[in-house]
Amino acid sequence: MVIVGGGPVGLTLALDLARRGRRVTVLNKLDFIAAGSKAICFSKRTLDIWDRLGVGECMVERGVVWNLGKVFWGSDTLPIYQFDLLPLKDQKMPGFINLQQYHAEEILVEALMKCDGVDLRWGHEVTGLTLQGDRVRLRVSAGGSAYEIEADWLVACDGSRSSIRQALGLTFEGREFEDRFLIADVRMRTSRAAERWFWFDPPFNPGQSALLHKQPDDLWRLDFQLGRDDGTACIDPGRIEPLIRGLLGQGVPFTPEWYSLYTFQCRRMARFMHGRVIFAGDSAHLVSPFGARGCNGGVADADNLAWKLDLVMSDAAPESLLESYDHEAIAMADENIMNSTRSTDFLTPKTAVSRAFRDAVLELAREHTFARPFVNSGRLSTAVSYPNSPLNTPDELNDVWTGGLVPGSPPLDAPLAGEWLLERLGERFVVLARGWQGALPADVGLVEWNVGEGEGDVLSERWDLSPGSAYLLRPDQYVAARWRAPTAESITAALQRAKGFSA
Amino acid sequence: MTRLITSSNLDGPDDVYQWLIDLHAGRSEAESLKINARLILLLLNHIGDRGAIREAIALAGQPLPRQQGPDICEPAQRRCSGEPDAPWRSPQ
Repeated sequence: MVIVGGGPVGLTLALDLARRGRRVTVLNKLDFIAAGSKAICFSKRTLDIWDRLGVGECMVERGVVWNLGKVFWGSDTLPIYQFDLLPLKDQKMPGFINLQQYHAEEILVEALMKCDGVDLRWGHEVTGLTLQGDRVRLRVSAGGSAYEIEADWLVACDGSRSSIRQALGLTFEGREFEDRFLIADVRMRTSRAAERWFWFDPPFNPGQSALLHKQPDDLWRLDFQLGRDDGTACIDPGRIEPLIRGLLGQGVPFTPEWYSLYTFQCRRMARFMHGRVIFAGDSAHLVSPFGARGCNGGVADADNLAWKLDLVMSDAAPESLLESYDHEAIAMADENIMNSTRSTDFLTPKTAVSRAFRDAVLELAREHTFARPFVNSGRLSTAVSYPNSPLNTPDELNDVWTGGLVPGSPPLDAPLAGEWLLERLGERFVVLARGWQGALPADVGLVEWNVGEGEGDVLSERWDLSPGSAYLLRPDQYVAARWRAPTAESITAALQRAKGFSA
Repeated sequence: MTRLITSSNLDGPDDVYQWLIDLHAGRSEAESLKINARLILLLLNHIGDRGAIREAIALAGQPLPRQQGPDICEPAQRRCSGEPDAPWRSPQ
């Protein structure tokens, strides 16, 4: 199989498939890892996925951990609102890390180098594509020469301007936003906290917004809203540096690393599955950066797709299993686009009325706690649920659950006898049970939880896992089914359904 | 099941109406717009019932019967997901 695009999405997918024993070829147009400002905020869900793939700890070690976001308004020095991205503690991974995308890519490439059957081709550009029945034929140009390559499956992780999407003539519907933003990555030494700071209407950028993030290596990401395009936008240090000094404080020494201007769009393809060609990440959907839902959404696509492709390619599941990727990844994309669009509308009100509401929220938030949750400076990426996925087995009618995780939910970490639950769940189908006695299908693992292993019982509480209960988890650790009184038959039936066999 | 009370539910309606008018006396339209926004937000939170709020929003946005005058609706903006935005009615 061939993956086009060697960004975080393509590399994550390649790593997941390689760990499942698949032979993978990755074609990347560039022959180097691009520096410059791209994604920096990686969510807990992305870290959970990367940890399953063996690179999570390395990412956290290299990155800057943060959980707290603060929102400021005007010249107030106290935040009008703050939020914790990891309200539930006792989980292995933090709420967020900041890490330059090129560092994340380096870590993924390093892990891929250690896998068998991975062919990373840098500087190989796809120039043509033909579909021939169940085969995809690609024309590739590399170093002045051209060759052809065939694949059973092609996954296009080649970004917002996807050449594969264009080659197939597929549309990319959505909305473009007019406001321009400026990114300034600057190097400086400071004792500022590793928190996300966001300003509405700060004195140094009146009427607009600004955002500050800490990155590793004394690098800081500053992001300034510049308003609608008036034709004067340019990367002019004479205009940019006053903004930076205004945010950092006069006299704080800094070295510019990267300046760029951007506008953004919210778009998605109508379908992500096109026969043997599958789209993942920015090639399939685009969001605004407020909420860190772009790259994290793409990594979640890879996580959703890898195990399904693997099962289909080994004939352990019908091809229709991949239809559920279309369903689930589109559900994710829509949730991300909805949240990102709402944030954008709050940040850049489009009419006098929406500006009046936005300003009213900010004014009220200063004095009244009720108004603070309305403040929307970006709703940061969290794992998306698929409550309507065809792979879910609904709860039994007579089972009473007072909490826990409904089918279609992402997993929730908890301590488990000196380890972490998510580490134990691994990357295949697993039954998580308290006191399961029966047999299990050959391809289903068992994680048995016995209270009394000495760490309190956060797990049973989070999962509402009373004695005798069980969950069936998918290879991406999502909940497929759960029972108060599981039987071998009900587990087998739910397993078949989660593999895409019709119920 | 409707949760929004649309029969009379307030003592002294003339007083309450006058409070609203007085609130806006001598204000510019921009100021009034924001004051109304603050008022709506305060009341929404006090009501605290999403069902009733949704009904009120839907009802408030319905076209009025026998509406006179020119069409003052802006065209709905297309969104990339979900339903189109409700048309925005000018305050004038």
